[in-house]
Amino acid sequence: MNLSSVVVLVGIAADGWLIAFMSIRGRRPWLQATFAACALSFLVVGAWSVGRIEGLLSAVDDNLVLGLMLLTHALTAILVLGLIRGAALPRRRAATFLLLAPIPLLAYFAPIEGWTVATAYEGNVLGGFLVVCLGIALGETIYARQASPMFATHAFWLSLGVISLIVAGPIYTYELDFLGRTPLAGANLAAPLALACFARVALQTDPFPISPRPPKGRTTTGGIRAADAIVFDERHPKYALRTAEQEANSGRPTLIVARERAKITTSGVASAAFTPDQHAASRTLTTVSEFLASAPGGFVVLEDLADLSVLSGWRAVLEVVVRLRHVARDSGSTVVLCPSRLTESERKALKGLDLPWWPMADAATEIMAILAQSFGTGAGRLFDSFCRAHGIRRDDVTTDHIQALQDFLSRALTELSGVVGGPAAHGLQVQYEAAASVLRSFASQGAVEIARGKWASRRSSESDVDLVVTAADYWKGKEMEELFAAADAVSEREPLFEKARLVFVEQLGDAGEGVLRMQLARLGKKPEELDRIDLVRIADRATVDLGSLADVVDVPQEKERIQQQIESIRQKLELIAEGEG
Amino acid sequence: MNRVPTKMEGLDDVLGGGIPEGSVVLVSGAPGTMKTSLTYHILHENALDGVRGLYVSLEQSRASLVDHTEGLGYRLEDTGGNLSILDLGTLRKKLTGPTAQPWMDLFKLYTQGIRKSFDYRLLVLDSLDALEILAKFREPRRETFSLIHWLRDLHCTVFLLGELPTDSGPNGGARTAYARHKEEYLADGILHLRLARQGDFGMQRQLRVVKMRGTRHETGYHALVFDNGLKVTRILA
Repeated sequence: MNLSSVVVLVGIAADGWLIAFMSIRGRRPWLQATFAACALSFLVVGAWSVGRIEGLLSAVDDNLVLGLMLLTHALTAILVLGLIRGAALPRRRAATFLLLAPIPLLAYFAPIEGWTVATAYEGNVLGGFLVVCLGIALGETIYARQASPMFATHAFWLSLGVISLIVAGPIYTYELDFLGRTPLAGANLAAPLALACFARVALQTDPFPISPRPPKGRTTTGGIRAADAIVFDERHPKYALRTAEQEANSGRPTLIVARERAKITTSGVASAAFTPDQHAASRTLTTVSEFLASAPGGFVVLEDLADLSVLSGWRAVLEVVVRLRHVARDSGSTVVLCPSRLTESERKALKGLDLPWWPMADAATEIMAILAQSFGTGAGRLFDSFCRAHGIRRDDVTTDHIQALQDFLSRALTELSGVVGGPAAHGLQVQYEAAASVLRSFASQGAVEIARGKWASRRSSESDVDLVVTAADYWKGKEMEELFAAADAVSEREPLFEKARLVFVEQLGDAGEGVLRMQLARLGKKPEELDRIDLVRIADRATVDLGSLADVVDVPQEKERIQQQIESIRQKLELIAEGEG
Repeated sequence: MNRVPTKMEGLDDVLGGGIPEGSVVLVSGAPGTMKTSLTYHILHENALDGVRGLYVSLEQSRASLVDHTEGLGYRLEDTGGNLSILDLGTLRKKLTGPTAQPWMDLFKLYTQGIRKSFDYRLLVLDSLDALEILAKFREPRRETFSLIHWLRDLHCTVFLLGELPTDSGPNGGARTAYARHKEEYLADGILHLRLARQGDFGMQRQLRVVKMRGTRHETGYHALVFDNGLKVTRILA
């Protein structure tokens, strides 16, 4: 067998392996189909070439192979365009397939004009088309390498692939022709190398796995209708996640892309976690664009811009943001960007993009400001007592904790009512109710209202400090001091039952206390008799005893959520028991 | 005004197109008047159109309810997961003990919690009387008022099933009260179901739209028949 035939056969085997590899590993059906078509056409042309050289396929129609050769070049250009531009323009990818349009025409004129596979690269219309296809692919890769910080590395591999095709294609054909040797009749020896380069880039830019897969065909607009990329400026991405839940609840396809998979149990919220490598930015872009291509009008939260910046570099992140803005506008979707933990210079650069910038209140700061309006400078002590009682950090407090905070303050006031006099207790109750009302109002606001509204912290900073008479001033500090002491006492002197009650109420709401009392009754204990061993026993039996709470639900996500709550109760009870030991 | 179609032949015409969205509707009647079947029909047929519904059963277990409704031709699996049954009847059997169980809190915990992962637009509570007994209402009128107020805040269409004693008299008598604790004043709508005598030996199920806020509806009794699905027709003398 001829040496060139052996080389082409090895290449055919490599092409076949690459088709299988891409089919299994890839996550973009459009791109996989294009790759498979391109590789398959190279494979068939190679096989025909071997058959021709070895004298096995002399009867095969030369025009058919010429058509396939045209296809390899057009598909190479389409594949390269798809790899570079496909992520930003998923809904316009079909336009690149217009490159296939001249092929039937050229195939029709081939026998008339006497064009053959052996003379394909000669100076005629056919050769011109082939060169234009390879030229488009090469030009696009060179442009991407110069213009795109995110795509520079990928562009190198694509350039290598395209240049190898040019060298082993037209240049090698001219060389053989010049040396008077038999040309390879359409086969391109560099096809496996080029396809390997394309496959490498395809996998490096593949979307992250998304779970659960969003249902297709849902186009509810949700609460935020802007088809744009919006920056939610908040210290921690609390409103971004809360808004994602609300949008998903309203039936809008929703995706959260973050460093770690989002722990949101709302059905319809899909999540993707980016892997810690330098291609995280380009993969994030393809993840979001593929999601929005399949669910136009969707809602996406890109949670950790700072982490992306560390992994892929800030210039790449800026490019992702710009491209995502185009994707959001093209698909009528909303992309929320979370700039928390970005450096000042990065924030400045992000602001330079003129994106809608929504300042969001920080729940902990606002709660402090609201409490300060009623309880003066001691608000911090009250808030710290609450955080200590619930075992949470200030930074982790969200609007979801406001109900628990009200309950906590209410308990502190109840304890205090036996200590201070009637009018003072009444005054504190009035202050508490005023604070509770503002807290409830704050908790009920969504991201849109928060972005537009005046927050307690802003109002308090605007007011004239000298004219403010706080409750602490009014009550001469005495009773307020006692309130703070009562709050401290509530958090520190919690009897075991109270600690267990808080765990149950935190997970199960108002029903939690009743469920705990039922568990106690089963042990034949009263709340004040609860000891560490009982707590261990309740924790041990929680999965079985409380499991029936999940059994009665037939919505899988809700069942899972309740099971998580039960597991959380079990773990927290064990922690309390360990602490008591 | 958006309306929730009952998808029951004849009833939507009586109701002027359906039930106003977000209404709290009391479905009251004596045992055997098909309160469960009627409300399950509304949930099932809407679920087939992608509208999610939650059926909270405090009396029947899920298995028993599914058995009963599948016998009428309402197959749960046809709804594609858009109809959920919350089986508090089974939980009632499992949560036994010497202390009072927090049924009202549990009911609220589930109906609110499920919303996070299953955004239902229709809710059936079967039945208000069972909840009242289980939750041991101390002041039934005040607590019922509070419950209806809470249900209204869910912003979905709610059906409350209420038991009434079996009607007496030749034609069931002219009933003036449709609930035990004046819920009829709190609810936005009332559907009354009864069994009326027909001839010497026959009985006929009948339905009357007593009240439906924001709706011009017919006020007379109509026959409720099951013939390849529930239908509401005129009463033939």
